[in-house]
Amino acid sequence: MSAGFDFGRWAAMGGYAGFVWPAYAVALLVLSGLALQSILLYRSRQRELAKLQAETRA
Amino acid sequence: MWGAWWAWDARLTSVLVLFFLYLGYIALANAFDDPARGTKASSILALVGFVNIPIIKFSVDWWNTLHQPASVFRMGGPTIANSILTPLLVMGLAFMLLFAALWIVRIRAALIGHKIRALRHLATERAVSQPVYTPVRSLSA
Repeated sequence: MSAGFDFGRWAAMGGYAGFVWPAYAVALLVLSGLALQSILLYRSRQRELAKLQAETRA
Repeated sequence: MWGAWWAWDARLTSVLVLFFLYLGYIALANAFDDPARGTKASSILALVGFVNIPIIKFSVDWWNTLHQPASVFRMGGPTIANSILTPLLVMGLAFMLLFAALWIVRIRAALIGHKIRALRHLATERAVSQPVYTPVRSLSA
């Protein structure tokens, strides 16, 4: 028996894999979604402001 | 809190209450046509809801349920093994930094939103104050 890294054993998380990996998945989904939504909102508002400013100056 | 999806544990339940308070905050903030009134009302709800924070903190000491008692911020130092405590603190810091970054982006978006609203308001006022000529002759001719 080798003392090397056993992926299956690590992925099983000591029997708690069903709790650990969904937790990571949900966190990744929610956090990336929130980050993406925030950045897109910021950019769309920047564009809208630039458009309005151009209109008012004209 | 290992080996259970959900239990009516003091910590879990008090955090669930916090979640509902947060949903209520979002709903209240968006419930008004005038955004200034919405932020005022939701700020009061946030202040009242803050009462829940110390309840969450001490829930594990007040009610002896599934969750372990305080194990990080307690008298006599943490009772967690370093191999768990170090990643816990690092990830805690990472979440704080992510929160700060998102907060800055969203505050900037909100400020631009205010500017947009002010410019729109200005544009409507200008349109209203400008006299509209309706030549009466052209109507009768």
